[in-house]
Amino acid sequence: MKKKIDYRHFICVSITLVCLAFSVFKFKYAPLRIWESLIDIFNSFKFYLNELFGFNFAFEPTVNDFTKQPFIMPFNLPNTWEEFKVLWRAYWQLYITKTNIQAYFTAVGDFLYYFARYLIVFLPFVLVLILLFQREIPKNNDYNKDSKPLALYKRFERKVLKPIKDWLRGFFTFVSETPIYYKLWLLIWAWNFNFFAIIIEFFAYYLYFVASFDLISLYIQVLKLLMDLSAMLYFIPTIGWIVLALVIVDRVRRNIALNTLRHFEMRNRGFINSLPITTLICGTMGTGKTTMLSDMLLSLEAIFRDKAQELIFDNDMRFPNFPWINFENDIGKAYDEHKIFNLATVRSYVDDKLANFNKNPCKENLWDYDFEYYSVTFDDKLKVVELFDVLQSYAQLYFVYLSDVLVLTNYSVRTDFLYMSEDNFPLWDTDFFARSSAALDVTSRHSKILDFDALRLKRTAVKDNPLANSYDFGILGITEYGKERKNMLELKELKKKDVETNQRNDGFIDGTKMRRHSGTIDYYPFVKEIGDEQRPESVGADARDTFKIVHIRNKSDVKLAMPLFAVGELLHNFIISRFKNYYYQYRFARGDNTLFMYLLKKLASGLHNYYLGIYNLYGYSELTCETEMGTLSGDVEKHSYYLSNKKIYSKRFSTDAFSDYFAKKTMRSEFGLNDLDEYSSERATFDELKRQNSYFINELINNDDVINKK
Amino acid sequence: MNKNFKNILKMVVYILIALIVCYGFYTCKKMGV
Repeated sequence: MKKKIDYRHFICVSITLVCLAFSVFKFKYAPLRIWESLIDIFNSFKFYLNELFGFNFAFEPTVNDFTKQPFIMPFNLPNTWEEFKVLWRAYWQLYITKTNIQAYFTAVGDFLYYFARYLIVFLPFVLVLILLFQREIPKNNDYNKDSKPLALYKRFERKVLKPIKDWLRGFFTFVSETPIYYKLWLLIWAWNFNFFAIIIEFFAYYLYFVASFDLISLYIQVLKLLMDLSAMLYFIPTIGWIVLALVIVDRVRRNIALNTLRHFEMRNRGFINSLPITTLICGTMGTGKTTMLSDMLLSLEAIFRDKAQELIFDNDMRFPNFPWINFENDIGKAYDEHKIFNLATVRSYVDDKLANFNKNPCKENLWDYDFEYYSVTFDDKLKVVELFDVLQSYAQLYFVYLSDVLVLTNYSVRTDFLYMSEDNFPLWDTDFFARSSAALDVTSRHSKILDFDALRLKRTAVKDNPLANSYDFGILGITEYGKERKNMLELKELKKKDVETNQRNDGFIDGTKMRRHSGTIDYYPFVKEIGDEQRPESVGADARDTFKIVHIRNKSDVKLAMPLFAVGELLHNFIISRFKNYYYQYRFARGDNTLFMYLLKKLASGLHNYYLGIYNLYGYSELTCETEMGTLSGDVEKHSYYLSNKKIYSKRFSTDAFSDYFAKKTMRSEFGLNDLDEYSSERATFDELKRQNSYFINELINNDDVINKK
Repeated sequence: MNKNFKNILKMVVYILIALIVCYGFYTCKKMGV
């Protein structure tokens, strides 16, 4: 069967032909200009060889000659540096003259006058709009009924606008999936706008300059560049330049915002690195303790991955001729087959392999390393390390690096580090800020469920818990830490000798103190324990003393890392506040839909969502923190911690982490808020007070003899 | 400080910068460049 050609190919071919027609008729000097630049580079090369090697090629350095093609000199600039210098001096003399400034402001006044006259044309439309807003809104209860004009417009939208939009979207997808077309168009327009000539001229001048150091000629090159660009400068209309400028400014400011957020992230990581292995975040409700905890857990995972890679590199450099890829593949295979699943099993796995090698020393048993030719020891100027020791470390580091999620928590935290592999050395993308929210569900992983038995050194809550010994490295995040590890007052009923496992006899705190011993590789502990609690005193002193306490003192309003948004924000606030007022007056009065409100809402929602999107992407708030030792000695250090909206509010964790428990609790009730009785007046009656079941009120009543006698 | 007030101050700065830049171009035009 004959395959039908997509008709969009014909459109693309037509566009290509139109572009080519421009090359032939409008930009016919482009090939001549390229030819000139080729002559320039050829002459410059000869000049370069003459100067460098003392050859005597006959040539004329033409790179400083103006083009013979009829290109316009932009801005009417003078042809020589000397003339330019004179003009430059005259320019600044004129710049500071009073008459020039006065003339300028007169010109500004004239401009505003003419601008205002143009504005008058739009005034009736503005007045009509104001009247539309001011008129009384007719009342009805025609729920969700479309007015006649709206029904007509919706039909127009469905039959005309939507198909056009869909077609354009499809066409753009088609073009992006058929790169030959857009690459060809880019090539043609680079040719038309003399970009090829500019690149060749750059190298021609480079060869000339390195041999001559003729700085004055730089001015000629700038002029030549401007003349080459004149083809583009005068072809693109002013409106095109304005759009282009706006697009460029928007991209630049977004890049600045991303870089600012990444800078804050690095500052956060510096702060986290300065903290000891165990940290407790404290602050009153709503200050963002759990938010900061989650943020730190995510940063820590990135820190651990980066650190593992850094140490892998150090070990790699110690034995640069070792076939690491074979070793990594072996570890990777054992990881996939679940032969290794914690650091101890990794060490044991490598030990077995090395024992096998010692029994039968051959290249094949040492991952193809030519141990007879290359060294098996390395002197790091502190000690001499054996290859076998390095392999032990490398295997553990690679295991940590490969592990999919490094965070264990008692509440869920979403992570989205991207694992990239071409079946060689894998790489992790640990960037938090340039992520598409649309791909969130595909890339997401969640923190591991923390079984507290794995952290208890002596006894476990569940007898023979198979997970009891599973923890040896990883980042522990424990929210509401003090509810898990209570203080002495709360635990006074519990005894160490109790048969049941309790907080005094489970060895959890011993575990906290010893945690680093299980997870240290190459002197770096891949272990961190962070908790949050409202007051440090809620945590038992033995545990608390091992912590560094981070007090959150203040959380700033959301700020924006993106510059040049003041105009957009002002416009948004002005329009949306007015729209909101009008919208709810309208909703109060009417239940139907009209064309006016439909269009207005479309515009307002577009503007509002754009504004929110900018804040979601580039907004951040600053936490003012104070750190002190767990002994609460009072010596505090001030720090700033930055919470980026994009990083921490992108479905990272649920602020009501334990809501499922409360939901189950309230489901058992047959009453809700609306079923509760109100106070009968401003002063509660005695009966109403009694119904509070308050300890305080009950105590008052119980101690009052007169009431009790009654 | 109120966000809108801050933004208005920023706007004023933008306008001043624009006026200075435009003055530069205006003087260029006066020079015939």
